[in-house]
Amino acid sequence: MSVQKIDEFCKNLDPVVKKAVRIASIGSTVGREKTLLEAYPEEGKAEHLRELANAIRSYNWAENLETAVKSLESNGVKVLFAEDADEARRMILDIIAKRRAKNVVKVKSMTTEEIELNDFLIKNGIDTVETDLGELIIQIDGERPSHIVKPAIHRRREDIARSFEKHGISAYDDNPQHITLNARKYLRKKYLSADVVISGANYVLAKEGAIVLATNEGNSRFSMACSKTHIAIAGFEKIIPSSRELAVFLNLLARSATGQHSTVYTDFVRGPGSAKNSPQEMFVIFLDNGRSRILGSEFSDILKCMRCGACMNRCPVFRLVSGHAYRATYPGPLGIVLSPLLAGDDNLEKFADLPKACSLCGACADVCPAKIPLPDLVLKMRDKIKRAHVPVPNDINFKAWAFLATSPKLWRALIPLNKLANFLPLNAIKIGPMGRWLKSRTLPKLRGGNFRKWFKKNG
Amino acid sequence: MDKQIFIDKVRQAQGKHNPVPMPTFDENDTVSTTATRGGAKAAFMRNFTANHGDVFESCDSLVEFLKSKGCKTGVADAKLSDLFGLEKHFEISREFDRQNNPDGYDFGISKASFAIGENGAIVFKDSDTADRLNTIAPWIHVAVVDSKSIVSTLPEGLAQTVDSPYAVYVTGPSKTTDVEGVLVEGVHGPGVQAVLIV
Amino acid sequence: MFTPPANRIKGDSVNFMATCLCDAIFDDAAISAVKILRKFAKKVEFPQEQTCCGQPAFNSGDFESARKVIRHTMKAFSHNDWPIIVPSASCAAMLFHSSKIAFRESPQSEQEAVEKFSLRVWEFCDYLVNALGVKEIGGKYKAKAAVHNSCHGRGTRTPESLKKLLTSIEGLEIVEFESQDECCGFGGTFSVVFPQISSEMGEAKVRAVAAAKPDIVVAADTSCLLHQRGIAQKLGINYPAKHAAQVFYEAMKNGGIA
Repeated sequence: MSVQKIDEFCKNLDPVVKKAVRIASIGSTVGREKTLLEAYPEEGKAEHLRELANAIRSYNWAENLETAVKSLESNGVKVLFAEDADEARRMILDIIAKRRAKNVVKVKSMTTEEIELNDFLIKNGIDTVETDLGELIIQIDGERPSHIVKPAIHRRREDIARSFEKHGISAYDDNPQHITLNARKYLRKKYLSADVVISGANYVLAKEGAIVLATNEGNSRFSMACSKTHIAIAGFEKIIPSSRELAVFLNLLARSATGQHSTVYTDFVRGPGSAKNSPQEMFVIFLDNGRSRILGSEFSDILKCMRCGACMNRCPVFRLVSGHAYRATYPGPLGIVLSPLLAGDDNLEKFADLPKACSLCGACADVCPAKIPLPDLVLKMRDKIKRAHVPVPNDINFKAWAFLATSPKLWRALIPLNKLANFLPLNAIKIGPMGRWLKSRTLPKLRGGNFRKWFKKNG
Repeated sequence: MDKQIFIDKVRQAQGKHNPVPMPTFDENDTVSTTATRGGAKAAFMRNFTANHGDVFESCDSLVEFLKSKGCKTGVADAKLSDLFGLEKHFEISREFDRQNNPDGYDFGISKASFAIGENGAIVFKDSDTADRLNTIAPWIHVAVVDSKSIVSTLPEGLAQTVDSPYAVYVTGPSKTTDVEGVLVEGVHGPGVQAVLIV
Repeated sequence: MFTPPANRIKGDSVNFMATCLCDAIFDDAAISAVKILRKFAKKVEFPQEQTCCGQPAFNSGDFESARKVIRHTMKAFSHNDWPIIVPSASCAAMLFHSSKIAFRESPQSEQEAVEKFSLRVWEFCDYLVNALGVKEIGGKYKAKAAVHNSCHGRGTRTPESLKKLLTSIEGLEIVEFESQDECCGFGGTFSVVFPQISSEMGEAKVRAVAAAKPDIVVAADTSCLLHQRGIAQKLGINYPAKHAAQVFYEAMKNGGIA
């Protein structure tokens, strides 16, 4: 029997993990609403901010990029351009190798996940450690993040403690505070011996030539303070005109992501530092990796995403399956549009099932801080995949249906015949759409044509 | 990839869409009236303490607090000219010894460049900081904030932030909820973040 | 998300679109809807060439089939230019919102025709309150009602219209339940393409509703109720589901004003 991978994942998912993901997602969703209302009780104000976030990101991408490059360079930043993941990885390794650096500390960055940087660096003999606690937890177990903001949301304290013990970070202790303190002790050593810090960028300010990083743990500050070289990589869509526009985004980001009014730390980095214990050189790598292709398509709105995770926190499907079900860097409503797009038109089969893992409830669009029309994009993805003739499991062929629905005489003749099904042993059907329906649901008595009969009599 | 080719690819792609004018907006569109209630200093204190930051307006109360936390040693940033008599109560180093003693300071104290009421943020800029590690590494950190330097809104703050090679907003102690969503304060940054408002 | 066009046409002569689901199963809902419309509008016509709004094909990505069906639907309602009232938020949203996506690459003239057509389409409760100006249904219906707002009502005035009309009924008390805003998992073909997820969502919804111990479960869409009732029955949970139109009609009948 054909089965959708994500559906199967849901079936096999540990109920403890399912519950944890659900509770955390609902918590963030509630927090989002609470903090937005607290900060902006005035009718329509929060909504207006979201409209601004959408509109500002519709501005001239190329001009922003040109301005950003000029400003960054005049601040002493070396700016590089990577066409794809492969080029980005090699560029980063090259910078590290030229400096004979051996120890890299990483600030959490979904972009570096996208280009699969860590494994590449480690394979090339560079000790690369994630400094965000959630990322560290999954890195030591060779896992990928299951959420773009809370990467270890699927993990229990007991298995984290076991993992820490197994990988020599600390003795077994599953108290969350102790786990955190143990990670702090372990990472101190890593920070203090770091040569290079690699980060992403939440935003890039074109006018001032600066990157902005939003964190809670203090790992970005510490990483930068201890390293001699800072490499930041960002998709070009992260660029916004200036720090004036940043007010719009900073007011939306943490509230949408975690239900905080603000992250504890917000770093503004416009080049090598001038204090002691700060990077002496800085690189910014702008990444394409399919983004210009997406920009030129009808899916360009997805580039407005600020990676807050509100959509997946709100998504009823995500809440039931967790991020790993999507098999891609970006899960949830964001991922079912972005992941197939990033994979490229030659590789649509890889994630062709993702856009279907959605009941089109529209809740994601209600919480997206940039007002990205996600359900519309999901539908367009389904069209794109259908037109490319990429098969997906359980797909229903609607050609016959369309024929029937455009042949009114046939329709009127056949619909009343559905009553015959009431006499059939439908429960014997175990396959196909009917089988899948009846597995967990009953069907009411079919009453085809009764309305038309009534209307004719009572017209 | 060559810079020009990269930018041209972006330009070509965006050319497929109708140009959209940059929206106009007023600072007030983004400023939270609830968060800025009461004026700059009151808003800062309220929002900072809501994030579990500790506020002190007299050196005596600060000393009492530090002593209650068992502090014996501290490191004071070189750009902080006034130590407010703390050197009488604690052993204060004027330089962070990264090589030999990175975890040896019970508290760090440094000068804040300014503070922002709306988001309860202390701002540290490289121009006012001799050594970043003073503000990052110790478990307890005290930021010395000139009360006249506290601005009310985030836009006001942003307008004077990005003119230094580095600036950071700090709204309280470092924290995480990465283990089962349980809030833990004190991760890589300070577990106790205080301000001395002067 | 499914916000209708701002300037839809109104009028007290209307067409009725039964929807394929009511055509096949839920005649009661459609009949009640027509009876209610006849109370408040002058004329209600049912062009018999109508079949389906095209949503099943559209949602599964077969836009070509969807376009064929929408063209046919437009033709079926072309003998006048009156508003088209649909007792289904999802079918209405298909025709006033999603149809434009289906035709986004079609010739300009066809896109304009689809746009023009979208201005005629209204969901049933929305039309009663915001076009015909109905302020109350009145009548009597003593029951605790759990109201399920279908996802396609997001961004529309259907939820508020439904609530307004229900609360005007004497004896009817709306009861709240957990996670009211969360999708029930039907999603059309989603229910059979992702049956595990769909059923888990459905079970969560059914249990949340049942915990509020309602006497009836009311919605402006029979599609969601088909799924919820199906799951409830399989679980052995009593789930008396009714379309809003049925509740309105029964209330008016009980009150002697039908």
